[in-house]
Amino acid sequence: MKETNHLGKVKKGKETIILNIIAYMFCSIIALMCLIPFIMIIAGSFSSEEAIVANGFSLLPQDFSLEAYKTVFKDPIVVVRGYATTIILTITGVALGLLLQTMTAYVLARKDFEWRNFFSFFFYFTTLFSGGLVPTYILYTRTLNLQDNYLALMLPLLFSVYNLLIMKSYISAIPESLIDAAKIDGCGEIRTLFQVVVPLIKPALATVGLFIGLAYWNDWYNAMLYIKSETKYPLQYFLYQKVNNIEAYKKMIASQAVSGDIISAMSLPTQTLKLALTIVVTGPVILAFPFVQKYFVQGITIGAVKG
Amino acid sequence: MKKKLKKVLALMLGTVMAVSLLGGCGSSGGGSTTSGTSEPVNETTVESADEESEMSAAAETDLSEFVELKMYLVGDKPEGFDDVYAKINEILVEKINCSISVDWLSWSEHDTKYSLLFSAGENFDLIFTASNWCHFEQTVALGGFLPLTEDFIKTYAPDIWEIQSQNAWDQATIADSIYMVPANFVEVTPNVVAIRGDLMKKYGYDDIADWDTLISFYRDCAAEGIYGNASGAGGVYWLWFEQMGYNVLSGTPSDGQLVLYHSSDAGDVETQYILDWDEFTDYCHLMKELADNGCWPPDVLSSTQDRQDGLLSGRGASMVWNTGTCRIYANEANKEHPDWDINVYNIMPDIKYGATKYINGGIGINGNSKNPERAMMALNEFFTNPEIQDLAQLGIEGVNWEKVGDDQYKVIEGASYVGSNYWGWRNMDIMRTEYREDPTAVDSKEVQLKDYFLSNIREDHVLDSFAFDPAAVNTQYAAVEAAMGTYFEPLRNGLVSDVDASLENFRAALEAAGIRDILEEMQKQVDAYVAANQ
Amino acid sequence: MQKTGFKSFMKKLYKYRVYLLMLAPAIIYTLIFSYYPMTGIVMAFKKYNYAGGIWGSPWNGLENFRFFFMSGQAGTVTRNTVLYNIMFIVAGTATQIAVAVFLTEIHNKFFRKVSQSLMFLPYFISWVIVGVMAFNIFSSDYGFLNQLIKSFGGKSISFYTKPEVWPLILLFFNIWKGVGYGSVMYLAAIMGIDTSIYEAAAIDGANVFQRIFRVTIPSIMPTVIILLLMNIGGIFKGNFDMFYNLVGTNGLLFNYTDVIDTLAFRALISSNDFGMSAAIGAFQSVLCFITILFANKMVSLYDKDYTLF
Repeated sequence: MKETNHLGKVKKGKETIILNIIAYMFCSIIALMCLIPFIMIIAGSFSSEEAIVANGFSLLPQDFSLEAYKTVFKDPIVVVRGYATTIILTITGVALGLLLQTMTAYVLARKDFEWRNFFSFFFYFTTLFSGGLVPTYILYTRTLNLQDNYLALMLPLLFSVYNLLIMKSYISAIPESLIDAAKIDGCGEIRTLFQVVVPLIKPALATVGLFIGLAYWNDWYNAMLYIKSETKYPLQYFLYQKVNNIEAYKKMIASQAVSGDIISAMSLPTQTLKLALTIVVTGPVILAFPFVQKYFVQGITIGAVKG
Repeated sequence: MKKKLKKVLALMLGTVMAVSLLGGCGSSGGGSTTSGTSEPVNETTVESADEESEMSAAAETDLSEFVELKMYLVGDKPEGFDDVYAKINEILVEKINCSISVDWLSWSEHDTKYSLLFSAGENFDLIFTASNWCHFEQTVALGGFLPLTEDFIKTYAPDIWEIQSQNAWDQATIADSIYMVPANFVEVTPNVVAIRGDLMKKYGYDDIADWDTLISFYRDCAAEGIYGNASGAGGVYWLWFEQMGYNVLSGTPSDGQLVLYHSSDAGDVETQYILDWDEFTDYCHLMKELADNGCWPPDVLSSTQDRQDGLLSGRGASMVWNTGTCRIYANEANKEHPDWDINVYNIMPDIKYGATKYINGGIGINGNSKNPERAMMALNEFFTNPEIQDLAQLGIEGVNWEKVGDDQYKVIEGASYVGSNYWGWRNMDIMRTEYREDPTAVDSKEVQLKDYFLSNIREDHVLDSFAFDPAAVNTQYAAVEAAMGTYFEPLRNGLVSDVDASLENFRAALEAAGIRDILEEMQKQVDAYVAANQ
Repeated sequence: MQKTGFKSFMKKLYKYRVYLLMLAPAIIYTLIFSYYPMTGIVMAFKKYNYAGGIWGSPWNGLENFRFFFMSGQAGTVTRNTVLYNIMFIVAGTATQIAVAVFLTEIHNKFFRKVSQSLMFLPYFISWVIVGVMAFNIFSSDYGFLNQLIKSFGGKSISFYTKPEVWPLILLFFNIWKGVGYGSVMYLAAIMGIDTSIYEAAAIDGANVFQRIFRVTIPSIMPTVIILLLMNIGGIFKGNFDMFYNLVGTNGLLFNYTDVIDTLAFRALISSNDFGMSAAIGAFQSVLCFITILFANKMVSLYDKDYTLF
């Protein structure tokens, strides 16, 4: 008996049942193992610092307290500005980065391009060897003079060889015949790329776009290195600063480096703050997730594009 | 078909525009600017002391050009900082025709960024530095700071030269040059123990005032299932050698903990490599016994908890730390659990205490600074001008704090200024101390202890200001630091299964890593230093 | 002779002019932001100081590499780094492919979307927090696992003094953290398979398992191999954040858990020697380079189209 599944027809039988059992169980277990720690983080972020320090994590908030969130949102304007900066940066970065990477990957995937292996190596080599932080820092701040400039946040993450090669492998999966057909029809490379290839690699675009977006969203390192004005802080940097500063400061005091008379940092919630920070940063992304997911749900029928 | 292409191109154009807008919004790289808006000061008003020749040299200093200095401080920019520093700059402009702008390296990033500032040749004049934790020795080794000659200091900062003790300058000297201006501030903050009074009573202890009593207290706690010290024996190690009259030899591996010297006996200049020392072997055995009996949890080495968490959560009976920190946490714990009755105890009342180093906070001048002379003069003001001292530490008088008598202050409720990173130029001769209303029992004890410590500072030992310079044995140093990880902490906390075997392995590993070369070089430097300074 | 060579090169340049133009932005970017700073690798052979900078500092040959071998740990940490990475690559890839395949086969849209989102959550949890959570689970007094054991009447196990279990623990956390992010790539590859192939398989009478193993998995081979190769290219680089936060400074576990990156960190934390840290990086890079050349060659013997370069 045949059963229509979203992937097309398949012979139904006990194999399908077995597969379903395995699949549902496997995915449920993993999903649960991923969910539970996150619930603990949410619960922890709504707990009081003392409870967390004394008892560790739990599934429900202990000694319910909004202290951590209050600390995070103490300066709501700064937080909002951080969000705005990060969102604009992410959207722009994804648009440009995706364009750049897709275009490059397309060329590298073209089998009639003799030099494609050379260039693949050219790009890949940069992931093996690196000069380290110092030369990169000098490049951005001295040579290019991008100190305190949004470009210093945008450029480092714009192009990633990892993403490039993934995209290349997706494009390679498209049958050569389609591209030849487009060529015969008189399409130039750009048109072939945008009108023939792009519609067929929507899942790939979604994936790489997602990766680029996440990279921008989570980035605080570049902000730490290059940004000085508070108004330009992306969200992650601003929040991580809050937490790391208190931690480092406490360590300073403890090591006799600094007079212990300065009390202000003592009663600040560090553990719960870290948790609240995770939620504040992750929240918007998880909410945006469903929109990206529709590309992973439906398969592509290449036949439909031929026409 | 064409429509789609146009859409894409439009998108491209749009994003390119957006990017260039964003890029344009950013200011280009910072650098000091000289603005010619202030009136030139014709005569110098720098107060100098008695040096006549130096005075005329200073008087001849051309102060006609307005200079904007840039200083880097470590920490967070406090609220109200701009107002406070506006006032400081008023004074600076008036006196030496310069102003100072401050950039910050936050606590979490100074480890990374400090060295980057120098590597990238960033334009600044002054920077906070401190021995060990704020990159002083490292930066000197890499040639970042300007070497300060005696003449230079005497000419441009004669007041600092007056008040600063020779000891301070010695500490700031590496390889015969002075590299920072240390703060004129020392504390005596030896390690003390915050202990739960209720548990002491329970096991029959009136007071814990020496090492053996503390150890037996730990044993009693463990027998009842409470950790003597929930964060392990890191702090206990320091107690151990301190109560024997020893101290770490600065600059040796593992933050100096590998080589000790007999600090309480000025006549004994022998250095003690702990792996050649029977006392250390005995110590490791003792720690193993305590650990086996349950004085601390077996996973202290990976613990993600802070040192005070054990005490605050009730799992530990004591905490070892410096006086100030113990006071803070003792008060905090007592507030939540008054029945715990925590107080601070000094377990080495017969030992005299060493003061913290002067170089625990100071200011260095950038080797690439374009205005080192003016920077030095600005430092002179920071050090010796009581107004600036008060401003930097406490904020604006009347707004953030008020005077109590001549030398104390009281913070104005709700409007306090959290002075940050002013420790580079603290001058204890003119600093104000806090006036505490309603001291708790812990507060009183702490004051008592502090006074006791201050009045019992031991005589200087020649090796107090010695700092080992590992430049010649860099490779061995790194190798030793790498090899230590597997053995040192586990041995110190008594968590190894066979102490003697571990010690043997430890010794062998360090020998292979080149510890003898380091010790040889160190001894050479020590001998030379002692000969020159005794 | 040379003229012909040059001429044919120019001809090719012209022939590929559109391609090269399309590559131009990426090439320029890579030259500026990757190759130019890469020259800083010379620091590995110099005694770096601020005054000389990268280029002016004096050369000191291979001196910067010596500390690593004198530490006595070089062999251990290198072995650990490689073995852990092999474990992570194999187990991680297998799990991620399995998840991707299962998610595709599952009927229920809602279940698919929700479980996929949930699997992504660990990616957002920083290793610092994971370290704290791990301690909360494995700690000997109040850790979750030990409480469970005690409630069944057993004696608590001290995980942090038992090095042997840590490879498993680390493997688990590594898979857990990366399964969501990793499976997305394979999922996207599966989504790119032409459904007409499935129809053909159905006509041939294939059951579900046959479809998976004969159609789905072979179709995503290019992606799988590319990712495998890229992972192999990093085989001498340890995931510092993970090891540092989960293990801490627990010397008891180091024989089983120390990797090159954590060792270098401990060795250089106090001296901040730029030359030595560059040397370690160069050491790792060279070994990775040799490995990937070899691996890529192996793949090219199998199928030229699957190679990385």
